[in-house]
Amino acid sequence: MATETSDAQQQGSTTGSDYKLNVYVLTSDGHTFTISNIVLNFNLYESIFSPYVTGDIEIGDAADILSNYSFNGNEYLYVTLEKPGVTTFLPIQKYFRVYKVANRRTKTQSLQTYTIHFCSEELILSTQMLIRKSYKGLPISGMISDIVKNILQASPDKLNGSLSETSGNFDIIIPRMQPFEAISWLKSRAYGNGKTAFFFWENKFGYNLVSYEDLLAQTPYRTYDKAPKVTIDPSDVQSSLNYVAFGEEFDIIKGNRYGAFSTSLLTYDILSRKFAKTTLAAPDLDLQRSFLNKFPPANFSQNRFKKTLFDNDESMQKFYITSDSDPNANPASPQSWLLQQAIKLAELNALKAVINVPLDPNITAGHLVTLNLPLMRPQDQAYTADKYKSGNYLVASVHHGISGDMASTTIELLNDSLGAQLPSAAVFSGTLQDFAKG
Amino acid sequence: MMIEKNFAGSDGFYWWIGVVENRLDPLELGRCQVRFFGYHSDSLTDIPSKDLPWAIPMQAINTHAFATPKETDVVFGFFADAGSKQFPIMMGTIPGIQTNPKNTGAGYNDLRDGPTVIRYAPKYLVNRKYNKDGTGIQLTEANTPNVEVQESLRYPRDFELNKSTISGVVTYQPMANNVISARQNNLDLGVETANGVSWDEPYPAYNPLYPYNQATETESGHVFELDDTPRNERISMNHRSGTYWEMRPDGTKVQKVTKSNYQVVMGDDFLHVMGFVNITVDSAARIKVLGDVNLEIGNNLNAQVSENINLTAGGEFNIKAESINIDIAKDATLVTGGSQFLTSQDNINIKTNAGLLSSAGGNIDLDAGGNMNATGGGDVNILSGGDANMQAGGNANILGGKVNLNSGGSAGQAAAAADGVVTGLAPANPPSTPNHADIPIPATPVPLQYSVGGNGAILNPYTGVAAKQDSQLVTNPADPDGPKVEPPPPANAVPQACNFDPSAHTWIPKAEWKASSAVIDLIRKSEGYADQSGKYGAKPPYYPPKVKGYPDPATKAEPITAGYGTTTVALSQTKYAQTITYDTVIDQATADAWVLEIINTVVIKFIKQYQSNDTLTQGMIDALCDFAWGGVGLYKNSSIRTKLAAKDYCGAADGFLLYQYAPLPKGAPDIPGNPPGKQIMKGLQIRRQNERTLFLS
Repeated sequence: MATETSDAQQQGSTTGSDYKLNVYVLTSDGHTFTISNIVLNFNLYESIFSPYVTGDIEIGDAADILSNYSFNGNEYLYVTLEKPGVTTFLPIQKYFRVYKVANRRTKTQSLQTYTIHFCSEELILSTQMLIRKSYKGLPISGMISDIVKNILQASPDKLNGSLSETSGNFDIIIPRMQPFEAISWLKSRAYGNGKTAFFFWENKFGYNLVSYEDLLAQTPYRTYDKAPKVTIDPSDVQSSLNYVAFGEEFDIIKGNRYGAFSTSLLTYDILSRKFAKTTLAAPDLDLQRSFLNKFPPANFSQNRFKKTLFDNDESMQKFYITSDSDPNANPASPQSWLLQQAIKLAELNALKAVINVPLDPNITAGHLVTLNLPLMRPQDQAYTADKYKSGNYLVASVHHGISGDMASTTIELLNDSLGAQLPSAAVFSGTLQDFAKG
Repeated sequence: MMIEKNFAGSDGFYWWIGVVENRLDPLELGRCQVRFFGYHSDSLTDIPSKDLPWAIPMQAINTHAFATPKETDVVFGFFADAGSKQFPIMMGTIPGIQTNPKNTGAGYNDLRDGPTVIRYAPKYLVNRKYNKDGTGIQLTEANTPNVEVQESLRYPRDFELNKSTISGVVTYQPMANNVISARQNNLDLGVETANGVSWDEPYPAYNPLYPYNQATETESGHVFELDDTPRNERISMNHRSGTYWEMRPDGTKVQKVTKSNYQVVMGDDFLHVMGFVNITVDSAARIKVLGDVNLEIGNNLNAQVSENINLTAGGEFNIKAESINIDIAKDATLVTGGSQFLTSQDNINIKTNAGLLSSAGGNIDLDAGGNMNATGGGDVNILSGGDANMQAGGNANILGGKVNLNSGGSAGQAAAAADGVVTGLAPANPPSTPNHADIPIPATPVPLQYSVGGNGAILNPYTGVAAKQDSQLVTNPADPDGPKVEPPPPANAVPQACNFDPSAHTWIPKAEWKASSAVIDLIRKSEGYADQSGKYGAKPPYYPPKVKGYPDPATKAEPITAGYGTTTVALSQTKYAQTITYDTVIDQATADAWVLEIINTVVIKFIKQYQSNDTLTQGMIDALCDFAWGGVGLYKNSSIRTKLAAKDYCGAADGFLLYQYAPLPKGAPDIPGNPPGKQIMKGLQIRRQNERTLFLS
């Protein structure tokens, strides 16, 4: 059940007229024109889980552009978004590729509306090619870089992101995968020195390959304070927060299923006939990692078997056939990345929140933000901070939306930890029946 | 989102089809580098052959037999890591028609580099030469390290193009120079057996009908077949060299080895042949058995030998048969080292178309439970250095124009034949004539006594005939008609050194005089021992150990001699004597025994009688025995005896050197320096020298 704080939903909101959105069209037959004046809605999406950026534009068209300019999906869009007079606003200036028109509706005899869907051009390229290529003695980051630069031949403006180095050199053959599919497959096996998981995504800066730990090490981009404000300053976008919604909190079942607390890996080396079991509990991994906040999202309370959440290494068990005894073993041994990555990515779902803020094109997927959240309270009681959920969050995705009457940014946040230590009983105290008996 | 669930077996089954590009697995597990269709491309730039993943072969569950596909084979399998697709496992190969020519410019081909092909590619044979001279087959394979041959070894090989990848052995389309066709073209025909029957190597029963021949044909040309073709069921195993075995439809097994064949059985070996066994060896056969050989033959044992038969027994050589028939085209010699016994429950018949000679240095014992018949077209001579005993349970018949019974032992009662001499102690009622019908059968064996004839020769007790030993004497110039005398020293004789020191020797009293083995050695040297063909003077080893009587080597006629010049057989001088004939068969041990028995019973007796010395050295005794072996009379009348009696040891020693002459052939002119009618006999010259040396030793 989502928890939503909507008491200040309109606080800090801005309208589409505050921004200057320009959209230029380059048709497949060489025509160039602008559709900026007929945009009804503009949406732009980016996510740390997506290697490409997508968006859509709703058009109110009285000139039947689609027919007159023979739209067929091979058009390019050049989009610029800026806020005149605000120097802190970093404009968005990007090329996109039209890939679909949908929801075409005739309003009047001379007016129709429809939605043009666009994406990074590399997404279309990625769906047009397959990679069958061997890499010998390269780190995962080197392979991904090769795919981005040499296979997709990404435009130079998209290479301003952060492509981190991963550890280990491997021999891998990409077995007929689309480039983005291959990148996703490769980065899932990437690890580094103290780095448990890597993310590959495209944002406004370009392509990024960054470890989870490096993301956590950032300085928070912005602090959003849900404390009541006396006045509303439209220019105070730094702290304006239209709403906060928590989609999921401590889903223990999902946490167990995905190995948030403890996990195990069975491996059988088919060449050397060696069977091995490797277990890893979150507290053990905690010793060598950092959190977004100070405290893990689970405590050490015990179940009826006197086991904590971290004592159940079979809650998620993986089994891999390996060939580590082969000096040319492929791919990287799962012991080096699988368990760590599973725990970390599962923990990252401990808290999922969605916030909506006035349009902030500067924020991008992969940023850290700080949320200051209050406890629920009667109207007459003073503000009290929620010590558990207040803290740093990872921006998983960003959705910029502009319409005629509103311009806002919706941000999906993920958190792997809490701002305070969860209390727990030292020993399982009994049953509910005992409790009911008093 | 990763496709796999990260649990092997639950991530789905992703199968693949690919082409083997390399099978030289560094781990030697049968893995192959496989280029998959779809998952990989044929671009050698994107995926070089050396980067291909190693696919592990899946084996049949009932075997760990090693097998791996070869380059360009199409294989099928699955990924053990469904999500990653880096860990393939091969499940099998897929047959087809190989229409793609070799191509080293793209994937899905045999991309081995040249040196690898030359070094590791199995070589097929380009020629087989079936040598039938015992050296075996000569093979020529395509292994010349040049580019042309190198490419001919790359898959698909030229003769495999546009053909099924299934072996031609299965489809009855064997490739050129296939081992099957080689067999067909190189059959071993007309093999002769011992009984004159010949046989042929069966024509290969190869006539498979698809799909019933479950066959394997390897890259170098080996063929293994399990053929279920109806009415032509076979199993065959063929090495590419042509060596094979085949179990034919009727159960016949054919086996051929084109080079050498080795078989080692560390336990027992059993063979049951219910029919014939035919063995033909073009060269020689060697059989060595460290234990016994037991040969049981239901019918006949027929052995035909083109040349010699040599049989050697370290112990006894026993032959037992209902009858023994020996048909010898030429001479036969029986030589024994000890005594020789010929015993018969019935008659012993000796018949010769030439002379029948029996000569013994010791006793001659002839003992027969039935009749004893000695019949000669010419003379019948029984000579014995000791007693000559002839004893028959029935009649003892000696028939001849002249019958000489001559014994060196006691004379006893003697009966002279019409024109012969009977000396020694004759059996009861000795015949007055040499008519065998007149020779009575003694009730009990009576020992024959040897005696010495007028010339000193040992006389046969029956015939009284002395060995012809006066040939070494010369006519007395003073009495040309008188007895012959000792030859004078040769005109050019060189005195030999004599440093005899009596004090340095052991002197043996007369009562203990006895010949030693030195006599045997000397006689062996001098007389020699006849080999199987009767050839005189054969040297050890003696084959076979038994010989027959042979003519006197000097006269080429009588006396018939056996062993070491023995003319009278003395099987036991206390029983009977037997005259040596051409049919007399003795072995060397027997010959040795004869010598010692005759010397120590006859010769030594005369030496004791005639030699007046009280003591002699062993060398003197042996030298005198060897000399008197040729004739006691020679010794009695020689200067050897007289000078020895006078203790002129060196003079006595030189006396041996006077007796080295033999008569010249009739009509031959005299030889200057030699007595008239005489010539130095080389054998005697050596023998006398040896006697002199032995005398002074």
